[in-house]
Amino acid sequence: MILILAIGIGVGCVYALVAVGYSLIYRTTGVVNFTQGSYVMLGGFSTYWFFAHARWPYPVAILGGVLVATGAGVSLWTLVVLPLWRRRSPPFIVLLATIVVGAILGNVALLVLGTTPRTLPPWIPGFGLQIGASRVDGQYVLVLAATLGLLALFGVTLRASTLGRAMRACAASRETSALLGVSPERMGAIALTATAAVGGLGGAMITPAQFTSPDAGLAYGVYGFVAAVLGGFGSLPGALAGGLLLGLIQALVGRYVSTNFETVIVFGILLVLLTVRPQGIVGADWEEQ
Amino acid sequence: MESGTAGAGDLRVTGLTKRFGGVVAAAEVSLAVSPAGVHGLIGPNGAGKSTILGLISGFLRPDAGRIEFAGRDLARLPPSAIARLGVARTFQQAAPLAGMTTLENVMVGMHARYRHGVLSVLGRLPGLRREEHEVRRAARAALADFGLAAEAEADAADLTFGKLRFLEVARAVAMRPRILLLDEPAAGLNRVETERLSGLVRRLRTDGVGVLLVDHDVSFVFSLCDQVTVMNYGRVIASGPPAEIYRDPAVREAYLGPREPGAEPAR
Repeated sequence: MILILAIGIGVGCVYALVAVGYSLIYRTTGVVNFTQGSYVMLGGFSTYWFFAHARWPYPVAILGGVLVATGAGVSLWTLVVLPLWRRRSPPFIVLLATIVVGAILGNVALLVLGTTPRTLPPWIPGFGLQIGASRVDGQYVLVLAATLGLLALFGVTLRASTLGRAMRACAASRETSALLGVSPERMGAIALTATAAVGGLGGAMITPAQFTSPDAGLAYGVYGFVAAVLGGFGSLPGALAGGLLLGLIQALVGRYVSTNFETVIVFGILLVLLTVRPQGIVGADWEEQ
Repeated sequence: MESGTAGAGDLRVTGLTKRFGGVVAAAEVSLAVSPAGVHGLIGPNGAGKSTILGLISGFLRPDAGRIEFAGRDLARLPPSAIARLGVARTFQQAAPLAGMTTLENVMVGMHARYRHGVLSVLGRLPGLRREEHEVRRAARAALADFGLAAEAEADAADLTFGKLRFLEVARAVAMRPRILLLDEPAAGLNRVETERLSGLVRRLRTDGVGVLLVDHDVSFVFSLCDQVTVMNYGRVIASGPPAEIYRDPAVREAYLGPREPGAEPAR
């Protein structure tokens, strides 16, 4: 039971990081970016490639993995989203473009490393947590700690820095922000860079505890999106709550019912929640409105 | 078209034309705003005043003409870049950043003066804290100037109409603009608030800011301006010092109101 909960929390943390990515970019730019999950896959997969194929030292491989994910985020913004945005393309075109890019990234990963799910050694060898009779993989503890740390960092930055204020200003009104000298394009670029890096780190962190395969990008993308919606699309605590809830439900259903029913049950719960509480679990957002 | 040498800090609009479908909202409009000067832009509803402000601040793209400031053609720049160059504007419909406090609204406007990229955020955390403190203090001072000190921590969207208008102006002034475009700042304000606004505009002029003032309140505009441009149906019909404009028969007929009924100009 403890082990199941640890898996749920660990995976849920990654969903939460992806969810924060969705909401930060959506609030800042109005774009729903469906490649958010691909950064997790890219982070995990490129770390694996750098470590197992290029034989880089593990910490350098992790850094490389995060940089690949970040680079993918920056390229998506400059090469795909920004040109469409400037042409005032309808939101569904932008959404479609990000889905297509996500599919391409997944296929590239497939071509480079094949379908085999990959894993990595733990970040701190031998680190584990004894809870009762069970010994929890220390990697899950790291993932939880890093997620809480990153969310706190996002929270402080948004609330009490020039950059954070500028982002919240864009979320409130991109037109007024531009009038005040804040470039929504630049804020979008920063939001995408930051969330791609965080997604990549999430992938590098979770891969030692879970397997990562080329189609993981789609799974993290969908579940992270669900977590963002559950959390109210904009609130940091909401994203965490949504991610953890989703991770735990998935782990429990997978263990006690059947992995075949995971998707059905998770999406069933989503449908019920959307009907009962369309504003999400928390519902407030990072502007404390 | 005007000739002569432009002052270094002038905002110079030349031959500005903007069409919306078949409607010509602005036709070859030329005007100049100088530092430490107040330029009035008046005209009946639909004369094209707001179009001119939209073109200068970059929200609209002209079909023809140039908007020169600080050696740049503003017609080619996005709104945020124009704001950072020192051309600020306010809206007739105050546009507060909802969900942010009054103080934060002003602080966002100071972004242009305190710019930080991601790397500098990571690299200089201690310096940032000091700067955050400094911005906060300067923003509080700006609010106090406009009688908004008590509302500093309130959500900007909850301010009363008059206070919201002052926030709009305070936010623009806190950006330390060199040119300030005011879109009907006195509309809906009571006498006391209008007096206060006049005092603030005069002080901006003393501080060397060039002001382009668009308003319906003719006595308000004439009491403040050194130069007035009158528009009607997208065209400039007169420009000059207020006393001259006041006597201009074309202006009287088009804008100050024809005496006899039925004397409205035909389209």
